[in-house]
Amino acid sequence: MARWEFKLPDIGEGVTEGEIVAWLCKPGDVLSEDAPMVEVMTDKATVTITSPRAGLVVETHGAVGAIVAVHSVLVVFELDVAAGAPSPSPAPSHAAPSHAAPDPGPAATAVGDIRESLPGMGRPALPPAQPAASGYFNERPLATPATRKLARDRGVNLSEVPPTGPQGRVTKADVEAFAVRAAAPPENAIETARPAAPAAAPPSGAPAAAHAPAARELVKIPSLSDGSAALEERVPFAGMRRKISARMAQSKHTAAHFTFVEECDAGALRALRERMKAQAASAGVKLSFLPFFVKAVVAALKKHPILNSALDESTNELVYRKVYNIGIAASTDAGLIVPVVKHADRKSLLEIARDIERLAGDAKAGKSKAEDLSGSTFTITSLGAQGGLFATPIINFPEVGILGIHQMKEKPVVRDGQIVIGQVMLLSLSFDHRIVDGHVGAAFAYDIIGYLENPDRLFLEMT
Amino acid sequence: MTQMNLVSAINDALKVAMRADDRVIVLGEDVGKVGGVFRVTQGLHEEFGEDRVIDTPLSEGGIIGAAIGMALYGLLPVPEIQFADFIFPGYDQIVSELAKLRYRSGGEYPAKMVIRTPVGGGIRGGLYHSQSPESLFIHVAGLKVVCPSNPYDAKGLLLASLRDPDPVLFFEPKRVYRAAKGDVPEGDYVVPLSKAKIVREATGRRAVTVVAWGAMLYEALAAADEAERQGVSCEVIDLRTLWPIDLDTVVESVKRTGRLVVVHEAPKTCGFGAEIVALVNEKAFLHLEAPPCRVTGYDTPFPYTLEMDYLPLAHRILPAVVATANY
Amino acid sequence: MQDGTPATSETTASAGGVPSATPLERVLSPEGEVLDGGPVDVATAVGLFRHLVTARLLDLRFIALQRSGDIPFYASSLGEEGATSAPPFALDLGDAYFPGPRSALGSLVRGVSLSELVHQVFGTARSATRGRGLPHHVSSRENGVVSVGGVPGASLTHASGWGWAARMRGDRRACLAVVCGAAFASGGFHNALNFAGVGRANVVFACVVDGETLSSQTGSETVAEKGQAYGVPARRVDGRDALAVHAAIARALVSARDGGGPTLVEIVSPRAKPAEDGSIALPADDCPVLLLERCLARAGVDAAAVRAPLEAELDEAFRLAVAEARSSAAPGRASLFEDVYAEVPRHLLSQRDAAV
Repeated sequence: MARWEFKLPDIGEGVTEGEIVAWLCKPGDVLSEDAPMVEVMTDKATVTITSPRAGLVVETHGAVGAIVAVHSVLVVFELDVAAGAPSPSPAPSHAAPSHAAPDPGPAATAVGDIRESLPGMGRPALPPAQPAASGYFNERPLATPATRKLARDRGVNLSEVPPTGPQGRVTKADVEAFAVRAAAPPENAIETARPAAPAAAPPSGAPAAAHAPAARELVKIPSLSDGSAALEERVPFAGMRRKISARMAQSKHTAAHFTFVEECDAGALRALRERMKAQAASAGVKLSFLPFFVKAVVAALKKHPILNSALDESTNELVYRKVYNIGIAASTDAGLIVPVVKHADRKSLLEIARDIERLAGDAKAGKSKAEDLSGSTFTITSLGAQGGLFATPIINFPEVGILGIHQMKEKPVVRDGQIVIGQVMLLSLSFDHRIVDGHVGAAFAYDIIGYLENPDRLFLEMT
Repeated sequence: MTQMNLVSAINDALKVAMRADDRVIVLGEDVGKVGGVFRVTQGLHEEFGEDRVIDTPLSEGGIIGAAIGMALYGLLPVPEIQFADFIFPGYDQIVSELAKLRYRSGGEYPAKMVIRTPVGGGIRGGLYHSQSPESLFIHVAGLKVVCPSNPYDAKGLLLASLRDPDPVLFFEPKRVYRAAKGDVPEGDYVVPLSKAKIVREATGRRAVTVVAWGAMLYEALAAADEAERQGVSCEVIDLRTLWPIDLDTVVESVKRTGRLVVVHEAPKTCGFGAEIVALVNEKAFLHLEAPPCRVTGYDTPFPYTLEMDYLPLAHRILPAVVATANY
Repeated sequence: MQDGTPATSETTASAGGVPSATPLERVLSPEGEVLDGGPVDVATAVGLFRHLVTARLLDLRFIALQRSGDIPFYASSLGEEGATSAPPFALDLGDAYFPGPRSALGSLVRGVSLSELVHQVFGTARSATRGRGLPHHVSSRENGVVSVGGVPGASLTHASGWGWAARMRGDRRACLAVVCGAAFASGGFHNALNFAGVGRANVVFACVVDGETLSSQTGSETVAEKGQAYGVPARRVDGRDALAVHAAIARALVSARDGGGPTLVEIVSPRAKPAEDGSIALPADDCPVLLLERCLARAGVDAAAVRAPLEAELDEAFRLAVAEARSSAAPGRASLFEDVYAEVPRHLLSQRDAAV
């Protein structure tokens, strides 16, 4: 037996009470749905209230003339009485909000149904507005939707792309360039592992500078060990080697290298050196070819001052050096070092030869002085017997060129229509194409070759 | 502090204003002896008399027109239009006269009033008791439009609207007339116009800005609760004053979240959501991660039986929020 | 005539010639005699005469300006000077005047200067309306001339509200609303009379009609009889008789000040309309200016001695005003964004900054 109470509904908006005018049912009556129950007068109107459900009237509350408050119980029913087929409570004619349980509040009024409570409105009073939290201020880059689309299509994580556009905006070109860089084959053949790049977000709060090209993913070399035997040995990568590594990488990543190779007939030079050797020896100097190369380079630098320059990126100035300090790259047990022959333009062949001898001795003994290892404006690397056919020397950054000298070899050469045995030497020069154009580098190389093939000119132009 | 609902808070604001300034008068259909169809003006007639709480003939053109004349005389009328749906016979007076008086007279004849009217559906009111015509007034230069969502704001915004020098349309979300409850300070205070309120802050990195007002604010908050469970954080903004809009609050939020969902009951096409989306596109274009989205009523007359299908309730807001977050 | 009560004649101007229930009031016979035989109030008659002469002359000048393309349009009240100028002549300082679109010249009666009027018609930066209103929509707070818009009848309801407010405040001030053209056919007219009747508003409606408009805009014989349905007392006066118009309005205003509520005064007045060839035939026998001239002559006043120097003075003043208006700057572009709201809101500031 389900007991159900019918409460005086809010029959006029805002009405708080009503006067019972007449009872149209009494306890014991079995009412069908919509049967008239009671007449109630409010300050708006007198209305006949019908029974919303079928059932047995158990109690009626309030005599005729009584004032009853809205929501107070008027009639008590027993619903599932045997009399008649007790119909289940009808579904409300209007669907309740799909996300909410039907509201047990007051029934409809003449001008709609203003609820005392609504689903989801039991929440406490809204807190006063707070200043916006900055903790989640996102670091997402600025970009137009078209750029965002491009980045998505190319699998590029926009936040990794250094922006170059106005207001720090990532442009389409930035995305394209980044995608190309990312797709380039790894420079290091043993680079075998790389985190899934597009998915990786940089650490929160990573400074923008971290997005610069230098901040590439660090190469990880997974251990080949199967756990039983040591198949590899790991030694610290430090000291001179690490310095060289950084210098080489800096040079290679910054300067736009191009290499120029040409051969040189060193017959005349060789003859000259033979003639001077004894005199030098009497002066206590062992005359190698190197001092001649230094002199040839200085003479060529004077004709092409841009080869003796360096780029100051911080000020966007090209610095033309008025001193001629020639570095001589040397391989030592500790690694590659570059002792410098200072003011080579002001020194005689003998003086240069002496300098080189001293510098080489110091280097070999591992006691090079700091001042001897800095200040070069152009560098010569002597590739020697194991220099191969030709090489692509790396510029001693921030210089703009380097001369690599290969071993002299006897080779057939054509001279005056005759094949003769020549003293042939190859020169490998690298230049920074940012500063030195191809024809400039070539002219410089041919001037050096000219001095070496006709060393007499060196003396003509010697200061 | 007293616990009030929207009706009693607005009633309280009217009493505070009328006690403080005898220029403030209320006029409209059944606003006097009956106390208004929703009882918002209950008790005013008894306290202030029939010369300050005027039962007018049934003509919105007459109510607004006469209120303009009273304003020109020097009073501060607060006409009530029984339902916003009934405002159209007075629309000509609002658009052609009220909104333009200051301008056409070179500033000499401003007509100050606050037009109160209930808006919105969800009360089984059918097509003539449920509409939300805010954009029709926002589009008219010279009018301000306010729509509170809770009793505290309702009282403070109405008192601010009365102090504002320009005509204000004060839209009352009738669905929450009694369901929106909260503590309301006694006496006089204002909630400034053109200041939106962030009622829920986004907490996660994957966040969506949700702009709503009036009764739909609660639907937006319900959707935000569920979205949070699904890993999407919502920054919910109660616009409070629709026009002139507090664009800074909206734009700054969108710059944080990169995503925007606007919710309103009015039809989608040329609704206020369209303007908000356009403004955000202009001001935060480079920050957008997803197309700004509108969840609104349909481009149909307001239905009777199917009103809960028409309204942009939480269950329609939620998928829009999630889709915008995952765009 | 001393008490301001006009006599009535049995003639009517109703379209079908059927005598109307409400008699058409006149003070003067067509010959300028005071119908009830009493003395004429010479000061009032001379004052009215000067305003009628002014209205006649300026109407012709403004029509000429419109035809020369100087101003885009102008709504004249040529021929109905009595209906235009006599009602505001009855107002007191502090009363409000809600003009109709054809009663621009009535604003001069309220004290608006000819120079200000011309500046408003030209829409210059110096005008009180800052170049925003229509040319013939004169507005001047200083002179109690309330801004009206372009919707026929809209301002009538404003007048009801103004008058209702005055009545509620126990204020003896009253307002006058001119119902022009066919505004009595609008919903605003209904709202205005209904609200005025309910609120016992301190308002007088001066409804200017001619027979032709009346028959095309309403099925009733008169406008006055509509007043009865709203509980608003109504009178009909002959608009050609400026003294009769003035007396009827004055009496209605007194009634309003005394708490007697609104009055509807129907002013039946023929208007000189342009013929197809564009020429305008000025009224002759029907002319309100000539009628008053005859009346003044009978009272021993040399009307020509009043009229000639006044016209010369007006000609010169108008010439100067037009020259000044033509050489005046248009309002600055920034002013476009002002007075939309009391303060320029942010969205308009940005539009203004982009425009200026």
